[in-house]
Amino acid sequence: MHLEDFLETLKSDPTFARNVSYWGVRKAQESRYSPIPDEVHPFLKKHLDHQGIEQLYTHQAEVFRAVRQGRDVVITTPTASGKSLAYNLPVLDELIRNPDAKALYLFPTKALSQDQIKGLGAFEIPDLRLYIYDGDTPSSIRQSARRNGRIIVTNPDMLHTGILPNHPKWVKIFDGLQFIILDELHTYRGVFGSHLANVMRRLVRVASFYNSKPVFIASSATIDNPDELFEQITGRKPLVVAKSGAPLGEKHYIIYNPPLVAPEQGIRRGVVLEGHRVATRFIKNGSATIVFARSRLNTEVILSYLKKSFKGSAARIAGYRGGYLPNERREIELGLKEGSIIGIVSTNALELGIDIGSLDVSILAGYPGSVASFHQQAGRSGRTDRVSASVLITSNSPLDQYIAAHPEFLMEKSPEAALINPSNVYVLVDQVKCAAFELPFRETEPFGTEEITDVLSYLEEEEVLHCEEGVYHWQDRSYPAENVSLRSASISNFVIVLMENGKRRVIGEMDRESVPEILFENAIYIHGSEQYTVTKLDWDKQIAYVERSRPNYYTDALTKSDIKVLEHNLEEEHAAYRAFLSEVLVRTAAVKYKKIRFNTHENIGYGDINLPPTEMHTKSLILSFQAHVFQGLSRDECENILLALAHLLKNISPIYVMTDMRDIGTAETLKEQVIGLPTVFLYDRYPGGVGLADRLFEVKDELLQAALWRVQECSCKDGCPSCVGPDRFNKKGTEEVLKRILARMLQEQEAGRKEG
Amino acid sequence: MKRLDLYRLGRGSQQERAVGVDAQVPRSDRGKSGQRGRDRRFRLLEELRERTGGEIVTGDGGALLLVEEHIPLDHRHGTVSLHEAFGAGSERVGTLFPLIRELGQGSVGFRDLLFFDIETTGLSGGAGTYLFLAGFLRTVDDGFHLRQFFMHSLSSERFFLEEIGRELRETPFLVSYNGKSYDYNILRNRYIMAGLPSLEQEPVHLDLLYTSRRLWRGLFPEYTLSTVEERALGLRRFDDIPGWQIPAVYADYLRGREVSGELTRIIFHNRGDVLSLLALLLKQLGLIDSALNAQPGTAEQYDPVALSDILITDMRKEEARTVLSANRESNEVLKRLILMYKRDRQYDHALRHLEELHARQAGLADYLFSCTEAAKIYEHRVGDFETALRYTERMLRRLERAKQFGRIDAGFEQVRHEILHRMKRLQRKLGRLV
Repeated sequence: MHLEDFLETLKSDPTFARNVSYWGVRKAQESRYSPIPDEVHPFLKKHLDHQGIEQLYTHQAEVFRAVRQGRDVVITTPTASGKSLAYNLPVLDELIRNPDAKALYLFPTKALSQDQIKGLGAFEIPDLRLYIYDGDTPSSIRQSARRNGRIIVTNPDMLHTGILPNHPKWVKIFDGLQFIILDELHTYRGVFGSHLANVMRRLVRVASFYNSKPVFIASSATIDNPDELFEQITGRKPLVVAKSGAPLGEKHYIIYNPPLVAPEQGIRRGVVLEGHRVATRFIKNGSATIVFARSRLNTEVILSYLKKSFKGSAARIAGYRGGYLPNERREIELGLKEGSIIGIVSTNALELGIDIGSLDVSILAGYPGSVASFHQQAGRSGRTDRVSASVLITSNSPLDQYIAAHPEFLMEKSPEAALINPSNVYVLVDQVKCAAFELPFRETEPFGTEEITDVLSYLEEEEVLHCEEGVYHWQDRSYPAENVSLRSASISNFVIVLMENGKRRVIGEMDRESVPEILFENAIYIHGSEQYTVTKLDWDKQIAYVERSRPNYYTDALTKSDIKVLEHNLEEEHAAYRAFLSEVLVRTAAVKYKKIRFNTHENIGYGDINLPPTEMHTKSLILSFQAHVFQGLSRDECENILLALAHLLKNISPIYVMTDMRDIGTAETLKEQVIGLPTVFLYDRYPGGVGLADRLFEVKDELLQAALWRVQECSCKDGCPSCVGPDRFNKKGTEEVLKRILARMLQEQEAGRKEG
Repeated sequence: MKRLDLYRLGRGSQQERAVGVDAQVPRSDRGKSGQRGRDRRFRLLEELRERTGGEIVTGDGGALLLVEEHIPLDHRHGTVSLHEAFGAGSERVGTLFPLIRELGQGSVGFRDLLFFDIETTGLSGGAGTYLFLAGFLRTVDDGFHLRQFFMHSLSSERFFLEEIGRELRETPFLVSYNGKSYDYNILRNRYIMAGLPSLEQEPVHLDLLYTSRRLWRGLFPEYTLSTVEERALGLRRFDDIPGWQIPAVYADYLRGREVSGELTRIIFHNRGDVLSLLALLLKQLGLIDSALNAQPGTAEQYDPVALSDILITDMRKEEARTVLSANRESNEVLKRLILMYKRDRQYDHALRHLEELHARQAGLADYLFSCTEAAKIYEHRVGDFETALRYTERMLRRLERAKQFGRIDAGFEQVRHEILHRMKRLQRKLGRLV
């Protein structure tokens, strides 16, 4: 059956339709073309002609013209709209014309680098040598890359530890470096983005030492703040190219909220089972379907179920995990094209711009955590000339349930912002070290837009830098980039060592802050779907020893956080609450852990944790509610409601900040030390903060509103994991308190309007 | 609060963790820069000049200490007498370095060489590693001349580099230890960083690390200069400063701490390194000659295979054969000798040595080698298919026995397939197979 007709039958099939909480249709859009600009080099024109490209999409032509004028550009058109061609065209054009020009391409993953180099190589431009430079590049090729490369394709980590600290070896590339291409800009957020912004400051600094001033071209998924993110990362104001000229076929967006199995407790059927069920229907209909699962484990389970369902033609169903070799991937791609493969189950490995060919249906088993990811995964299905569909299957989590009830967050302008904080002092100090290693700093020299005289003199005190005649030189025997991980703000990581057959093998690392909660002795540590037991934790040497094990439970630490306010940066007083954005010291102690059985999630025992408390300085949103908000409630009730509020606010916050909710910590107190009011803290779990608390401070009213909606819309009786948390929390009381807060806020706004 | 106060607070107790060499030096004078640091540094340089008998050279906004020394002919370094540099073999540096011949340079002698070693502010290379001491040694009429340049301060770098560049420009051949991938790279980096025109004509670089690894392959636990000079030159250094401590001492000097004693030791250490380069080259050249004349058993330690390779590249095939012959108690050497005879089409010699290897009750791989090579020669060169077949059958029996005892796994099928193929061909040639 044609997908179009099949969708009609689904609509009228109650077993499917009764679970649909949203069904929207995006109309087909005609392509908008622009003639290939006259300035495009004849060689490229010929190539485009061979490819059957007679005209460009409007956005591609727009980018070409802007880059030719020396503008910095960020492209935010949708998945599969020809973004790569948009940035490759002006770059290659210049590289053909100017034999001294070079370009540096940065991709967040190796697989993307491979894909891109294939795409660039296809132009077959004579004498234009392309190199991938990453950890897998053999040393013989590295030398040739440095000498003969015109385009270097690499990743941020390699740039940080390999290229920049050795820039004199790369003199040929830096002399004439004209373009820096940042693909998937929105992935550079949080601590990674904060580091990357500083790596870009270093890159610009080194380039200008060789008298080069490269243009930045970036591509990004649709987010609320691509221009702000671009500016924070590159230090330049970009032209945002958002209007796509690429054609779009008709597309159905369906949010499928699995049926409740225990309505009182608010428990729904799981996304794995439902994902399998929905996928089976589409595949049986003959629609090429991709299922995205939220973890490797879920990927495996859904894959095995689907293979069982299609016994006899199991080969037509393929799994797709991160870390697949290029030839394995090519096989799958080929299978899809030829129709020998009809179903794919994938982790989010495919999300980032890798082209796997067109599919009819994408099924997201669980909300992927951000609107940008949602659109990237949903965008995997879609053809220009046919109808396609995307089904989001929502889980029990408050965020998923919120989205099921408020699809406008997915379908209208994305409210989520990619946040970074390049001035995070922990990141900054580390990055200034790396920068000073690369080139000495003059006493008053800024670092990008950042004044750093304080950091320089601090590093001199620490005897890492040495100042002579107004110039700060690196003066330490270490190689600083080696000790700075772009993916953590932690000063020191713990290593996880597997003891097996008398051999030691490092299987992972963990930031110091998370260790007491995850790597305590007897903890079950899960890594790559394998289970391990922590046998010993050596706190001083920063090593956790683990061995393989297969117990039927996992462990969950019970932590207690005390928060000490160091300083308020922002402060607001309202009728319902007082809000602060503050520097805080979070002291966390893990004292006990629970053993929780898999599947049933029942608690089957406790154990003690004997570890010193950890302290971290970070930023927090502090919401202190005015006394009347909690009037008439008992102490116990107040406590429970504060816990519920913290849980709700944290779980809903990813609507506004592109982050994993584990990056946000919470604490609550009945009497805040200074002002004595019941208070909730939402703090950034990275030392120094990466901008999460700042954004939460901005959107606090929206968060409170969303929290109320979530509680009101939840079908459970006394609270469930989808709203205020498990049953010990007070759902009714929470609702009442939120209503009081919102009512006051409304009054205040109206009063303000009258006055205004 | 200032952000760095927050930073210090956040780092908390972590600070104590950073304990390195620097901890041995009092940290009371943290970050003393400016005039006071400069005055102290000058005083230290003066002290150093007195201790080393050097001379302070200034110019172009910088200063350096130049230490010069004449080293007489009869100087001994470890077990090596340096006067050998004036001996008969001294014009044959090209023996060790085929590169010289490839460049069409005829005979290169010690007078064409500049021995060179540096000390740096870090050990991992990269743009932030500075070069602060460079030692150069060249051969003169009545011995050797050593010149060492010590950089007074980081702001003197440009001047310092230009002075070093003068040394380098006057020389066609540079001899170092691991200098190809380390010392010279650092020097090149520094030139770029200081904005100096690059060293236009780079000298030909002869790196003794590579020849040491080759000649003494498998004989030393590692091939650092200190191990090689101990093992090969019998050198024991007195009151030497370990290399890993050097960067921290120079950092302390820059910060005006009292380290002129340690600096003197570093300068002496560098002198030792440069002398070791000279001694090492003499030793390696001597090894080639002495190996030819040595009685079996009394010879110096060396890898005969590597040595014969060197001689072959030097077009000294007969000498290479002599070296191999004298050391043929090793199966490896014997195999090399066999292959050499085979290449020279001296099949009777090759077969004689194959018999010898065959009779040695060698391990599986060597046994298979002897049978295969013998079978090939009998089949293709002698035309004795019967004997060739006998060797092939022996080989098959041995292989299958090894399999039975579980001594072979990977590659078994492949080898067996090759043997059976040869057997079939031989049987066909003998008319036993249609």
